[in-house]
Amino acid sequence: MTRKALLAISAALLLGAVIYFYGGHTAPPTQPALVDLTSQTLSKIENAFNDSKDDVRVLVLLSPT
Amino acid sequence: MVCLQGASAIEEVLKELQGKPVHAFVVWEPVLPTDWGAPSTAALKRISDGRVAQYWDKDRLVSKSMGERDKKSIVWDHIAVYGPGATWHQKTALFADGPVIKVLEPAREAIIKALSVTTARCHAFNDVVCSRKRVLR
Repeated sequence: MTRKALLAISAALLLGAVIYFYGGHTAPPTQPALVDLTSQTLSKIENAFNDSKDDVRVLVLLSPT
Repeated sequence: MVCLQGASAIEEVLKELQGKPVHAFVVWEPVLPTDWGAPSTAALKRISDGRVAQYWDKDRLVSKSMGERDKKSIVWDHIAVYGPGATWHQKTALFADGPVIKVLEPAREAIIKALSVTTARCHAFNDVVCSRKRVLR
């Protein structure tokens, strides 16, 4: 394989990884839109959590990459 | 990547509990040097269940509210299960631990246990709220 072909494959893989890890920020259609939490909007998660207080709730904290 | 595997694993648990009154709040937060911005569409898609709401917490406000004081005490790759009645400011988790992928089984058991309590309460008291929810669902 030529050096050019290797470079092209590496560039394509890198581009794919960038798109996968950083492309768009759209939540699945069955869910509400992704909420940006700030000190002003923190109440949104608090209210949503309290609104379903008759149910079981799971809180998960994850890193995006 | 471990966090993303945790996200997929949670999706599997929710799939298994389809139709059950479980809500998941997924908070994405920057922890790793590669966490330059909000989660990508691909990452969000890993948890696609309709009972989930997802949040981008760039200042780690939730982690701080759960005890983060410095880099070592950041609350991440973490799962907590809350039973009926718990509120945001007075919440005592039935189960809380991490990394998510490693503690998924006990977390799943805690969810199932909490669900059985909810169902028992509904049957015992012929709870109006439970009945209304069943109609709405």
